[in-house]
Amino acid sequence: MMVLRSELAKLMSLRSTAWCLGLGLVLTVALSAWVVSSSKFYGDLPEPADRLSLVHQPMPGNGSIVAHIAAQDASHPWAKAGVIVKRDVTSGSPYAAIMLTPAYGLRLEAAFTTSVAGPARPWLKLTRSGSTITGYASSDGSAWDEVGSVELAGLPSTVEVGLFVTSPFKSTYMQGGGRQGALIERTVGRAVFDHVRVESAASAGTWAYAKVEPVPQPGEPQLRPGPGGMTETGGAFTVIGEGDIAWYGIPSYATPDVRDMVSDSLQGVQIGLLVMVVLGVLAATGEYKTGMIRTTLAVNPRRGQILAAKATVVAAMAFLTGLAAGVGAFLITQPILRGRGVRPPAYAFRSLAEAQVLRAVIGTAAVLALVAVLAFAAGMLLRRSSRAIPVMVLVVLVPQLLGPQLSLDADKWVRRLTPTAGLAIQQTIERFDTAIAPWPGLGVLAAYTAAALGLALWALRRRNA
Amino acid sequence: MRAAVRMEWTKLRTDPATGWCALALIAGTVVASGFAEWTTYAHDCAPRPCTVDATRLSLSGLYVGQIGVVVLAILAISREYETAMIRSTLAAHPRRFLIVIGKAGVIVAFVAVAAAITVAFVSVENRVILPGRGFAQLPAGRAYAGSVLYLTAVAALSLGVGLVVRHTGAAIATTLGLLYVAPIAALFVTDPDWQDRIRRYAPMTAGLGWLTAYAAVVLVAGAVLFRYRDA
Repeated sequence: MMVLRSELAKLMSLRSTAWCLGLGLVLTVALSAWVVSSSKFYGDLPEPADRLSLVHQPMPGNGSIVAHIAAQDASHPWAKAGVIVKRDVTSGSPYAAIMLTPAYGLRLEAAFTTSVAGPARPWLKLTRSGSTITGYASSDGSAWDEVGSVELAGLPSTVEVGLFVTSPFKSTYMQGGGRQGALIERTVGRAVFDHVRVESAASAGTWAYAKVEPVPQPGEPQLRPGPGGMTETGGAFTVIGEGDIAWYGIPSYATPDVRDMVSDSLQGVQIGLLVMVVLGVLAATGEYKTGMIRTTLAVNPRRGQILAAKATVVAAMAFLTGLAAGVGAFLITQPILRGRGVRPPAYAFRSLAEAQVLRAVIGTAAVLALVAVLAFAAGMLLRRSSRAIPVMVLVVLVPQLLGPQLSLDADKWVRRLTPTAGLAIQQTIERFDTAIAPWPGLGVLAAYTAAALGLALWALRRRNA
Repeated sequence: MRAAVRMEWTKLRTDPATGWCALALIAGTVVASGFAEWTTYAHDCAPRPCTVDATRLSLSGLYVGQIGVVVLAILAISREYETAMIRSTLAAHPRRFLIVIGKAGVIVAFVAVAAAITVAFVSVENRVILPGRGFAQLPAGRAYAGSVLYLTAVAALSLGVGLVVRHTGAAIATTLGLLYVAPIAALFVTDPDWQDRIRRYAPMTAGLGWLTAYAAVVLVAGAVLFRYRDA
C-alpha cells in the first residue's frame, strides 16, 4: 500500500502527468466530435429494392394462392422463391409474400419492412381477407400451419397474385492502395413450382409473366436488363429471376457501406492512444532520466513490487481518464450524428444503457489503460523516451495506417496480430472488414501488455539501474 | 557559419543515436515497403477494372521509416537540453540564429543522404517484387526524388518542433501526432469533401509544397524562440 502511495505521489508530481491526463481527455472528446461532424450526411435513404420475376394474374376480392415448390437453385443464400400478393406489377408497390430461401428457411415478408421466419416446408399459401394477408406452410398441401399475418393498408379490391423468383447480387469486397470497394455480380435464381392454384370466388385469369424492375432515377446508372423468364410444362412453372425484394428491416437487404456508428463515435481514441503512450513511457523513463530510480530502488529493493505498483498507478490513471473520455465522446457525438441524419431505419439510435455500447465505451478505457501499461513496460525496457515513444507509435498507430494500403486479407492479419487488435472492443456490428471479435481483440492487446511487463520485470531484476 | 556547421556535424556524427535512427529509416522503410508489396497484388482493389497505385504502395514503408528521421532531428536539439550541452554550445558560439541554420543544414543534408540510400533500396525491391505481383509499370524516378524531399522536410519540421518544445518525449509525441493522427482520423471520416481536405492539408499527405511551408513556419518559430528564450 505504501509503495502504491509513493508511486502515485511521484507520478502526480510530474508535470507531464497532468498534461497527459488533461490533454488525453480533451483531445479524445474533441477528435471524436470532429470525426462524426465531418461524416457524410445520412439523411437520404435509398429506395427499397424491388426486382423480381413474377408470374401473375389478377385476383378480385378475397382469396388464396397456393403453390408447391418442387425445386430451387442455391444461387445465393438469400435467393427467394414463393407466392406473392402485390398491389400491381410496378416496382415498389406494396406486397406480402411467403417464400423459401436456400440458406435461411421460410420467411413471411411484407411492405419492405416486415420479415417473419417460419418452418421450412415446400407448400406455401397466402390468403387475402380485406387488408389482412395470412401466410401458411405445409409439408403435404393439406394440413396447413399458420406462419403469421400482416396488415397491408391501401390494397385495391383486385390485387395481383402469383409466383416469384429473386436472387440478390453477390458482393465481393476488396481493398488495396488505400481504397475499398465492392465487386458486384449478378446471380441468377431458378425455381420450379407445381400444383399452383388460385382459390377465389371469381377468378378465371390466365398466368402472365412480368419482370418487375425499378425505373432508374436520373443520374443513376442503368443496369443491364437482368435475366428472367418463365416456361410452363404440364402445370409446372419454371421461373428464372434475379434481384431482391428488400429494404431496411428485411434481413436479405445488403448494406455494404453500413458503418459502425458506435466505434465511429469513439475514434478520438486515436489521439488518446498517443497521449497515453507518452504518459506510460514518461512514468518509466522519467526516473531513469533524473536518477530517481536509484533512490526508489534503495528505498524499496523489491523490484517486482515497484514495477507492479507503478503499472497499477499508470493503469488506473489511464483507465479513469479513458472512461471519462469515452463517456464524454459517446454522449457528445450522438446528437451530432442525429443532426447528420443518422436515424432509423438505416441506423438505430444508440444509448449508453445498451450492453454493446457499454462494452465499447468501457472497452475504450481498457484499451487506453492497456496501451499505457504497454508503453510503461516499453519505457522500463528501453529506458529512454526517445526510444520507447517511437516504438510504441510504431506498434499502435502505424499499423492502422499501413493496413488500408494492403489487400483486405493482409490488413485483417495486421489488425489481428498487432496491439491495434484491442480496438476491436469498439465494434458493435460485423462488417466485411471485421478482423477479430471484440473480446479476443482486447485479449491480443492484453497478451502484448502482459508479455512486455514480464520482460520489463526480468530486465529490471537483472540490470543495474 | 563554417564553425557552426562543423560543430553541429561533430555532434551529430558522435551521437550513437544518429546511426540507429539512420538504420531505422532505411531498414524500417525497406521492411515495411517489402511487406506491403509482398502481400498486395496489382488488382486487389475495386471498383474493377483497377490497378493499385504502385508508387503509393511501394513508398508506404515511409510510414514506418520516417519515425527514424523524426527522432534524429528532435534528439539533435532536445538532447542538448537534456544534457545541458546547449550551454556549452552557446558559450562556444553565441550567435543563435547561425546555430539553428547550422543544425538545420547538417540534419537536412544527413537525412537527404540517408533518404537517398533508402529509396535506392526501395527501387531495387520494387524491381524484384512488383513484377511478380502483377504490376506492369514501376514507380517513376520522380516519386523517389519526392520521397527524399519529403523526408528532409519532415526532418526540418521535427527540428522546429524540438526547438519549440525542447522536451524529448513531448517533442517526439507532438511531431508523430501531427504526422499520424490526421490520416488515421481520415479513415473514419466519411464525407468525401472532408477526406479531400484532410488529404490536402495534413502534413503527411499534403504535397511537398504544404509540408515545406509548415516546416518553414515551425522552424522559424523555433529559431525565434531559441533566440529569445534562456537555454
